[in-house]
Amino acid sequence: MTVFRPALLATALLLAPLAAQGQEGSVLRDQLHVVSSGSSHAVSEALVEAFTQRYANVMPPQLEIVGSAAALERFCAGVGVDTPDLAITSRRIPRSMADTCAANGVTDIVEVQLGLGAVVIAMRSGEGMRNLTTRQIYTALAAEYPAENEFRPNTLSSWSQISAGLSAAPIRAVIPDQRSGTRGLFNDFIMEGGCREVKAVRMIFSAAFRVSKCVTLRGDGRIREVASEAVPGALLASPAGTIGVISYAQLLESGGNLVPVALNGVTPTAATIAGDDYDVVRTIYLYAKRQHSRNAQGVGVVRGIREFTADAVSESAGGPSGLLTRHGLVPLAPVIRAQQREIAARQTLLNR
Amino acid sequence: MMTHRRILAALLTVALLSPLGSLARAQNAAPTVQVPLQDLPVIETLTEQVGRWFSDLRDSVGLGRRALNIARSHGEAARTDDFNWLMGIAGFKLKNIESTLGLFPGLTLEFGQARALSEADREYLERALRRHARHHPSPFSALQRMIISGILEANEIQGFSVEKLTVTLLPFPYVKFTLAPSDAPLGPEASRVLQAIERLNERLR
Repeated sequence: MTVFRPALLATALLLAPLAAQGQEGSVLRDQLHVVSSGSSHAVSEALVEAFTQRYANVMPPQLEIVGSAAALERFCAGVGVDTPDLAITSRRIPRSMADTCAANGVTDIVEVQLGLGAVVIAMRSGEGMRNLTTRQIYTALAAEYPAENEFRPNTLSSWSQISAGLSAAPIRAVIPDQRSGTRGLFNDFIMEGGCREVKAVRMIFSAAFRVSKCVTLRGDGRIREVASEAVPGALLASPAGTIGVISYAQLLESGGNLVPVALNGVTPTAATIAGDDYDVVRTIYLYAKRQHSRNAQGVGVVRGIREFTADAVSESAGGPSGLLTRHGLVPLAPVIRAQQREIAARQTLLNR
Repeated sequence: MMTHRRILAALLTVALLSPLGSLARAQNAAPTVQVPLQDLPVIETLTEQVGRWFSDLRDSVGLGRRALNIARSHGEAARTDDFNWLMGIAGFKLKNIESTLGLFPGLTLEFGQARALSEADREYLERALRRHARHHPSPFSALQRMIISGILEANEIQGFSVEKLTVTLLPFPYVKFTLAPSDAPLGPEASRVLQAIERLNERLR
């Protein structure tokens, strides 16, 4: 006769889910898929490398570098093995893209901020200009300028033609090519920012036409476009008085060979960037698709999303002496960092 | 004849100088006031109170004399704090101010869309709002930001854009958004202009 033991039954019932959890269920993919914008590629690479080193028995995440907009488009394309699990971008997901995400079934998105990235106008150490305004840069570099109800080709040849207080050096610039996120920031914040001050341009209703007039650069040989990572080298090899458009990370990496030019009176430093005083700053975001996280019931695409997100916002990554700081990101304020850690730990969903 | 003229001139001189003379005498003979100097009465009439609220409200949206003076004295810094300036970077321009005086004074501002915003414009506006929030935490400033954020939100609605914005401050504050479909049919006048442009293009070809 079997003795009925309720305690045993209770123990079995309690342990059953744990046992099921311990079973090696099938995952649809054994490797995280990360898409990243070009401007945050250094950050993305650092995070992927740190994740690979930290979790020794996992496949290194697959990292794809595309533009910010393309990264978000791919992230929002849908749910499934073929779509990315994480996106690292230098642009916050717009509401329209969040709607696209939702329409494609990507409804559970976790958004965390990693740090602040900045674009810097730099010159070789010991060279002339200390301060430029966004308007002066737009005036110097735009292909056309408005005059008497029409746009005329830009024929300015020296900085002093724009303002008497500026150097007499010829206008020359080295800037990253269109694929780079730094170029996107330069177009958005410096060229459009300078253009916004011009009444004749501000009067144009169509955003597309206005933007094309603002960001199209002169093609008379005064501007050299190179790959983003090649800008510091090209700037160092350029004639005296040339300005370069680089990221804050590249400025730090130059070891003092390149110096920043103050923009609208504000010099880019960790303090001015973190304090929101420097204008050409953008928050770097990490988006995680929570629907892809494999749960205890075996539902999901891949393991590691939560761990990757938590590591990316940890103090050892985003803190003042963290990994990302060494790659040129300026840490967020302590309160915001704490909020991001909380979001990552709880996998709180984005609500836009 | 000459004597008459002299008499006339003398009379005129006396007539002109006599008030000054009497004023001087009056100053010399002014009696001492025994009553101490008084403060201005603090109690305003209802009309005065309403008038003051009206001015304050008008100033707070950057339309009053006080706001203009501040803008002149602080230049750029004050300009950036102005509601109109924020509306400007949101792509809206002030079209009409409707102001009525009476038992219930009214103040309505009508803004029309002056330009469509680019992605960078939106980002710039969001930053301007963040900075505004840092420097102006008052409820009225928060209301101003809410209006601008409302425009941004409304413009996110697919296929629609905010065409007109009416901000009524008095007698009862409310904001009216007029949304129009982005591909709305053209009115007769706009159609005629478009046809004229097309005809001109054909002729140029």
